[in-house]
Amino acid sequence: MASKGNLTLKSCNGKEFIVEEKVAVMSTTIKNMVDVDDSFAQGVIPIIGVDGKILAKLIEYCKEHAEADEDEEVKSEEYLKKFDEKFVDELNLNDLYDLLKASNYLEITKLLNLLCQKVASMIKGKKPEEIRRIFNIKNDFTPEEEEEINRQNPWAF
Amino acid sequence: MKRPVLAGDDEKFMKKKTKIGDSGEAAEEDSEAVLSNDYLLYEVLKHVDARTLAAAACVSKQWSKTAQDERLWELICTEHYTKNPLQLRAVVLALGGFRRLYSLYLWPLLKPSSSSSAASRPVSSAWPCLPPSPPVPAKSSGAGMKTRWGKDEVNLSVSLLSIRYYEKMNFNNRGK
Repeated sequence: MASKGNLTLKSCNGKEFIVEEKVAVMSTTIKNMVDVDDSFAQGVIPIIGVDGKILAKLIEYCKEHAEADEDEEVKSEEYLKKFDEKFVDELNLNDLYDLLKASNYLEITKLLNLLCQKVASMIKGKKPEEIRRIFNIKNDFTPEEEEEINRQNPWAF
Repeated sequence: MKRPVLAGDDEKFMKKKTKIGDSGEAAEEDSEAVLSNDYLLYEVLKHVDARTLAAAACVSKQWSKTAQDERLWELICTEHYTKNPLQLRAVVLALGGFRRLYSLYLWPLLKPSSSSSAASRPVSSAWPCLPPSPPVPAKSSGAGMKTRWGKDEVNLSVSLLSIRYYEKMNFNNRGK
């Protein structure tokens, strides 16, 4: 059971994490749950669709940022920037997707923003064909449609 | 204080996750789920430049729809424009939108090749107010990717867009 000021988060595969409330409420979704209903703060909060590995990553991120918000001297802006860079650099594509989904669902805006920037950096300056290959996207244009859309976007090439 | 309570054999739950080595196949499933979410794709495209946004529009039908979102083109056109964005938005949207503004005026302005290769055929159609394409000094170094547009360029582009719109109106009326 979580002690006062702590919350217990449970991943979809049953792994439980006890985290400080200030860390957990970096997620707007969790914050809303706790604000609306006190009993969430006492019991276990199930995090649907997020497994233990991804939840651990989310908590790692939120912990650093919550602590930085609290004490800028220990965790400076520069420290956070380095942390963020390292955090996204170590992700493989699967984890990146899972984290994107989870941070969207849990409304961790800062993290969502960071991950979107990472994905954006993966497509920056790439040709449509390369983007399709990176993300395994099917080209569903007919040849005529493709020609037309390419013609409308001459500065892409 | 934080102690992961169940630290035991939950590693087994991870078996459903593919190993990094297999990421090719796994990415196929996941990417479909993630980037087929219009909202997430939109959030990603907020961070790209005009060239990448145009490339994104050519990827697939779904990407095309999201990448033509006027709000994204507004972000690009007004990147260096701080003055009264709401007023600008009202005017530009009435005249056909930010994507149009970019494609008709801002892009020709930035096109790196136009100043040198098209010197004989100046870009006068887009920028009639400029003297016929004087070879831009000091731009020869790079591919011109560093070129920026500020509020003057945006304002002037909007003026040209409204002139164009006005001329079309007149033309149509005369035709009747």
